[in-house]
Amino acid sequence: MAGGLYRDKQRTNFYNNYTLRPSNPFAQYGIDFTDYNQIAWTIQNPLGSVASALNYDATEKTASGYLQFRTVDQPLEVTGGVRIEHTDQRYAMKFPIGEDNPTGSQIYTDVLPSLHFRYRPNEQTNWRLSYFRSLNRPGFFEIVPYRIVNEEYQERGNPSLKRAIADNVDLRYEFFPRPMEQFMVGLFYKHIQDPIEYTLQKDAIRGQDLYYGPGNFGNATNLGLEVDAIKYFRQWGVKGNYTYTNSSITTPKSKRIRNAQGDLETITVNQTRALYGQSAHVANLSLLYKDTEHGWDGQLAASYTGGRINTVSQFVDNDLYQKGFIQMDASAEKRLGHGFLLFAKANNLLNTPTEIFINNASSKNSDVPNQDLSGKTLIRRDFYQRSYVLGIRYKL
Amino acid sequence: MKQVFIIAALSAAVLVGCSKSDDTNNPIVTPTPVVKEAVSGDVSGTWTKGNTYKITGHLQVPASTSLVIEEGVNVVFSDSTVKPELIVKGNLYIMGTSANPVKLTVPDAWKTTANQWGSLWGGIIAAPSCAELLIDNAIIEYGGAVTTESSPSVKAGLYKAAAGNHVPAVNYSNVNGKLVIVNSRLNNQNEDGFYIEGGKVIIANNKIYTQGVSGGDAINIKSGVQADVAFNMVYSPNTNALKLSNSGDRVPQAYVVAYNNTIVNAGWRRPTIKGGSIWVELRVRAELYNNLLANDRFGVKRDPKNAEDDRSKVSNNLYYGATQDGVTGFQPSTEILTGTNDVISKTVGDNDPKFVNYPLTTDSKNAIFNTAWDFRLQASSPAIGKGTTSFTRLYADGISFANGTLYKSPAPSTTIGAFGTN
Repeated sequence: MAGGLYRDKQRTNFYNNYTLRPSNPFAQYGIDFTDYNQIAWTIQNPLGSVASALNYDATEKTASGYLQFRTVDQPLEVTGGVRIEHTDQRYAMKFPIGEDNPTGSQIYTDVLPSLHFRYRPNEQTNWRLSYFRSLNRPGFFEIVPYRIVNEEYQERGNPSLKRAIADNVDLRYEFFPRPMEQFMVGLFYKHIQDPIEYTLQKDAIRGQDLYYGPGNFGNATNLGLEVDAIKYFRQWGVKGNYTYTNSSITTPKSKRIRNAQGDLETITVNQTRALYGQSAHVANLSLLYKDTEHGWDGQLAASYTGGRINTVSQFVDNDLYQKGFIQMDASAEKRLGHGFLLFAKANNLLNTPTEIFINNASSKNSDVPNQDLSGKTLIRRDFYQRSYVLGIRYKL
Repeated sequence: MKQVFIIAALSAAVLVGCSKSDDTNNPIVTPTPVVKEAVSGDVSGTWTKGNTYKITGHLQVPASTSLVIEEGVNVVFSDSTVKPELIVKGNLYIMGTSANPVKLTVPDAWKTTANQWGSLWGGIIAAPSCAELLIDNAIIEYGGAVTTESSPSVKAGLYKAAAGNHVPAVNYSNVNGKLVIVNSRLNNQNEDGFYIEGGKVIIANNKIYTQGVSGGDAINIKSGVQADVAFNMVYSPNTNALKLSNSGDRVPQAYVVAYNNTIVNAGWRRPTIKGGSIWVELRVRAELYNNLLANDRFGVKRDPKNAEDDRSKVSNNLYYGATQDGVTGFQPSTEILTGTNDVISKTVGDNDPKFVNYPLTTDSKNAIFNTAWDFRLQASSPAIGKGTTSFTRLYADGISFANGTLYKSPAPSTTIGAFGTN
């Protein structure tokens, strides 16, 4: 078997920025003005600032082809092949301002082999062993050397960001006792070269300028176990899965110390941690109801995502974690006949907050309001509230 | 016809002068002062005594080269659209004398009230490759322009490396370099005065006034700097006369010995409450002695959450307030440092420093400096004899430059303030 794909993506971005200062810096509300549109402003840069790195053209062209073979012998089936992907990613600043990389391109070709074995000793059982290599290329915008001033930090692109290449090995046992029921257990190992992570870093010259951006900081290994099962009791079913991942990457971090002279100094030390965004434990449990005869279909689903690193700090042992959370959703459908379908969905039933924290606390923050996590420093807490959808669908 | 003749004679004289110095390597003829028009681009070598250089575009001292500006040179930044910056990737030696200072200025016609806050040219922006920057007996005025994308500092990734910032008069960022600014005057500056992010530094015997329209500190020091800051007069800086911080995590840790400075009317023109006089934060190691703080918005202000280094010392400073707000502003608290042997009171008008000529009732928001003022002290001043000399300044032995000059930090005086007595 063989195939191919060509894709061409393009983007043009425009941004302008004026800096304004109040003409009278001492103007007071109620005395000098009573409405905000009465404030007079002085434009500091009348020519604007279109020559920022936010004015750019970017393209991404990918071409790929694959060759695959498959044996149909039973009980052992072998599928293997190779996929070749060529990537040509480019950007050009419209108004280069003398930065190191006013234009940039990343052109590379990857050979991505794969080999899968499936052994079927009987109709209900599969053993699978597979190896494949996969690719995670930088986003369109991530390699543009842009700088955006956000509320807390500057955000920057990284022209030297490299693609991540992962070698994956999976071993799985699958058992299908009845239609719609399954039991599966698997072991996996991934070695990721140059994973892309978002971190806080300091500017090379102005260390007081922190910025948030993507980078490659080393190689990572993920090792884990996965269990998945679906079981029905008449119309009621239970579906669950669980994944354990041991993820590890060692990267350099800053640490402030007092040197022999008693002066503050920032040194670099290594820290081993989980990969950014990788939870050790992820689990899903759903209660299913399916009554095909009367047209009912419903489910109540809970998912647990364990604690994970949200942002990698530039300081040792100071990463920003997202607290583990359970999210619960429900949905139901009823076929009404004549092509009509009534459906209802309720999302985020527990109104689970997103909580970001640092895993230590400083007495200096003791008087800061809402620091209610003992031994931790709360960075942010977002509530998204529940959402409900009720609708009728009609199928022609 | 007459004009043409004069110009011809002048060029002949210059030609003769050149050939003589080439022949003998020893100029005998004092060159006639000349006006160099339309100077821009790369500059190095020597700008000769008494000459005038009209700057119409951005300047750069390229890496591994030096520019020496001799006494009496007028550097006139003459394009208020381009607002030229002076980028220093090599070395710069501004070597004026008290009789003939070097001026970095703008055409006289532009020195109007409307241009009180400068912004008519950029500043001296030194790259980390600048090993030595010397400013002796210079007048720096009417600068601090806002950066645009075409500003060479932005292109070179210097200062804040972004469009839309008002540059300081002097920015220095080589942690292994040397910076000396002495006997100079900085005035009519839009925002920050000296913004220093590295190096061995002496800032002494300078006068800074009319600085910072809506923000900005006169002398702003970050990590990587080890500095003596002494005998400076700072009048009405927008926010702080000295902002001392170890931000940036550069090595070495910021260490500043600031002594015998006179700071008057600081901080009041800042629309929001920030600092006034001296600010210490983020583990800066600061030693503050013999400073005279009169009519400032605050005393030595600190950030309790990001405090100064524990080894910091504050003593023998004099505080005076002509208003209740001023006196309240320097009373010790968690945000105002307590010193030892300070001359301080809770009463309005106590400890009048008795300046020879300065009305202490001058409006606290006044930014205009009257050159007739005299901040020396009368014989009856309570500041006399209350200072200390028992501390170690960093550069008593001096900082030497490749051109053979040596600059020593001035010896401290027990007369608090920068000017002694009359």
